Amino acid sequence: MGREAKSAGAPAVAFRRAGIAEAVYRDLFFIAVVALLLWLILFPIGQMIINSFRSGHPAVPGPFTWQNYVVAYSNPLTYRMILNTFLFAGTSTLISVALAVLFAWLTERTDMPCRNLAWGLLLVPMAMPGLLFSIAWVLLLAPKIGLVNIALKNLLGWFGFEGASDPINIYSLGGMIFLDGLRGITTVFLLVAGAFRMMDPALEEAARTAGANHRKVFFKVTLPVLLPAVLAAFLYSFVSSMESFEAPLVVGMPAKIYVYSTMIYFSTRVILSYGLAGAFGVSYFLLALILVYIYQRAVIHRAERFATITGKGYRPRVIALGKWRYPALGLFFVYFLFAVVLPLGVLLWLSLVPDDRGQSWNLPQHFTLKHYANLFLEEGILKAAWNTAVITVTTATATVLLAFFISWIIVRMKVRGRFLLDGFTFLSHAVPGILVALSFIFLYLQPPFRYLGLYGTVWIISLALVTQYIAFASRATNAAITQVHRELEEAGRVLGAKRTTVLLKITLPLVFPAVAAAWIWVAAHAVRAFSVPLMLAGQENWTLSVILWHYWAEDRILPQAAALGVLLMLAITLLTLAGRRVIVQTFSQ
Amino acid sequence: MRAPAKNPVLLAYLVAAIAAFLESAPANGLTLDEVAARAKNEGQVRLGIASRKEISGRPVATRIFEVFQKRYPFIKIHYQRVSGFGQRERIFSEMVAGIVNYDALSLSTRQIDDGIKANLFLPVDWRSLGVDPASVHPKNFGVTYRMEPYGISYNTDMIKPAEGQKLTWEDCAHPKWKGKVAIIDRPRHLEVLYQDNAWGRDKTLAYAKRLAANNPVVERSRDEAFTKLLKGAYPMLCGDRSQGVLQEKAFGAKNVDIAFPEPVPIVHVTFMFVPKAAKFPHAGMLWIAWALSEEGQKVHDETEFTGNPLMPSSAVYHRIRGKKVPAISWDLLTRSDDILREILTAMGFPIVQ
Repeated sequence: MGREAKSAGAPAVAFRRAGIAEAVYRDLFFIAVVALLLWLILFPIGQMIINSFRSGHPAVPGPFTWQNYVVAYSNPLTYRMILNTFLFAGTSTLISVALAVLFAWLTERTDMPCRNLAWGLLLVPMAMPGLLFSIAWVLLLAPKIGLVNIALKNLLGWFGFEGASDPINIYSLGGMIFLDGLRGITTVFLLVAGAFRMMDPALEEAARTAGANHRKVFFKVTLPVLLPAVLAAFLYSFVSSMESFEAPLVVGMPAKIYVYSTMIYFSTRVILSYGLAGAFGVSYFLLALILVYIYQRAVIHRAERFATITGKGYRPRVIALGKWRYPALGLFFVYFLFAVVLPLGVLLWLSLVPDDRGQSWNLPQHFTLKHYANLFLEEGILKAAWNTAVITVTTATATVLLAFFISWIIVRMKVRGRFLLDGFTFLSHAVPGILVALSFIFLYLQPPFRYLGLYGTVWIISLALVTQYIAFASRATNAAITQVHRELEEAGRVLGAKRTTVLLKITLPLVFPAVAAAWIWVAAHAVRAFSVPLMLAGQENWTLSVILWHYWAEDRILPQAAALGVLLMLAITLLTLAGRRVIVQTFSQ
Repeated sequence: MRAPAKNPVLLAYLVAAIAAFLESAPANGLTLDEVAARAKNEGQVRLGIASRKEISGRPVATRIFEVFQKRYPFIKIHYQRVSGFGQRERIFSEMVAGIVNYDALSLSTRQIDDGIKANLFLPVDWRSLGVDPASVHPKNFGVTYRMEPYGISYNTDMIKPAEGQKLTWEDCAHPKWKGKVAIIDRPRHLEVLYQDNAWGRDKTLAYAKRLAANNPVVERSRDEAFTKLLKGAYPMLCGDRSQGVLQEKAFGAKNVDIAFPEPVPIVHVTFMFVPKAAKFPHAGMLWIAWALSEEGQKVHDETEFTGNPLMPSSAVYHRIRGKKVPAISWDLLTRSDDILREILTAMGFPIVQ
């Protein structure tokens, strides 16, 4: 920890070697950060690995066994599931990354009309709870009952194709990819948009001067320079899709298309085998480890090559799209129609019908606001709203601060084991939410941690959510810090500033757009997180999403769930747009 | 060391220890009246049950408590709805860690074995409290709480009632309905049919294979599947619970009904018990004994159709009367996870045996 070496080609402001005691004293803050991170992450990961070698319930574990691995990997269905996972995650990631990079470029670097509005609107899909998004699309595209299918069949009927079968079937691998690809765009956009904004345009200018056209500049200069951010986004998106749960659950399982997440779900919920879930989780974990290694080799080890924020002034040049200005805007609105307008429209409709179980869709004359009114009569709704607000703010703030410090250690400090540190940070993502929640229950219900009094409070939910989201936040901050050349920090050190002062007064302001974007992302996800708050919900710490889950899954009042979903979306949209405003104002300052 | 008889202090200590032990097993042979008297001293009970407070504006738990308190007005009820996998797993883990917030609690029948391993259940002589012996755990750890006949629910717009009522379990695996029927990812009815007094193991596993080969839509949630059935996404849902269908019909659903093919599997949904560390154990026992009494079952059936289907007071009794109903064994309940795994393996899932 105390050892920090110069990287190849970096100016010589090396921190001198120190004795262990001095190093510990000097790096106490960093040791504390790493210890906190490992504390949050290692326990769930360790629990998952141990469970994978045991039989029985984690609370009453049975003997150690290899059986979970033998069963998991001797069944042909497992390999079909792995293939499905790769097809699903690979294709949806390609869609997400391609569209997100395009939108980031359009909104950050071009003269596309309404690009500020588009930037804000790109955040809105994040506000929709994933389950409601998938359910809304089922109501649109399910065979026989989907509104779009019914409309298309009627349309085909006019052209003489009577009795045509359903034109679209959402219950398919294509349906899963479509939903996950759409859902993933905002996250990737947030990971790459900051990089586009912070990019030094000197290289592009040089290429143009040498006669390269826009396309050549984009593919030969812009994209390679932004490789850390794009690669980080790609890997994060890929692992997210591998872990993605809602679309595989709602549209994959009815068609018997299993992926890692639904296999883990099936193992824990249907056959109550946490060991088998662990065995699947561990292989997923190893796969994610390989991806982190690739990312390390490709990006972090060559961080200096990607530094585009230097001590020189920079102002990214706006690229004129010419006749493509309005088609580009049109493409964005098509995306927005699919990602927000259609599913939100269905949810809004659903929230207004008296009952969702009728044979056909209720007509507007039957609309009622009673589900919205009922929300305000719900016992404990205000407390749940307050709990949600507290969890959101604390989770987002703690996650991005921790991620920022961790990224700085990973990118700037050439310490042994930083690869492992980055790996663990990323791999927290690989532990299913239910296993994170269970490990937290065991940890904080047993002495000595029981005496902290965290169990049953909002703080335990916040801690568990930090564990869940640190992977995303650290991808964003890794990429951002990689882009900041160390000469700026070194200038501060030469002038006598302490390391923490440099970190907080120089580095943090420079990467603030990325940090703020990560904060918004974590906050928006914390507001609507289901599985962890549900498992950790006691009498006093219910959140709005737990109430929404109960409406949907337990009480089966789908219109009421839709009403709460619509209000949550509204709140998250306002939060994200306000956050966007802060980013813009800060950046322009 | 002196013999206890010659050591009055040791003797007194032993007597006190035996008295404390007897007190810790409060219902060893106690009658219902004696339990009620002790419950009166306790004055309250903390319930964790699956009943909703109300459904579509109609009182359910509220009405059940009203009837209970008419008989036992001296017991104040603190109620929390306990349902769903996540909540039950949390409560189970809390209890293992020593946090017990209930005096009468219903968990899944699948948690019985782990609960016994973790020493969570207070043994109670339930038979002396008038509970039907068939419902009582062989070691008195608790009772089965909700029993529901399973059948085939169908959309009456797509299958005429005359035809629907003749549906058999074989229809679900028949090529005529290939890709057109839905099942739930945990086919609980097959667990019951697996018993020797129904189909037995071999026939059930062979059927499970044929059912899976018939390409059914596998739904994760029964309620979601039922909503799709009502909307016409598929004509029938094989292995559906009667309570949900009867409730929806009572609340106005017109295009659905349920057939009960033979043998009619009756599934024991939850297990109710008094936790070992209950604060008001007698009140917990009193609640459970009352809930399983004829009066308790009647009001459960009136409010949420969860009364004992073998009691004439239940709505479903008349639908299954005279049909072959295999009695459920405790052996099945304690082995239900293993049986489910065998069935799901036959259907092609990777399962730990």
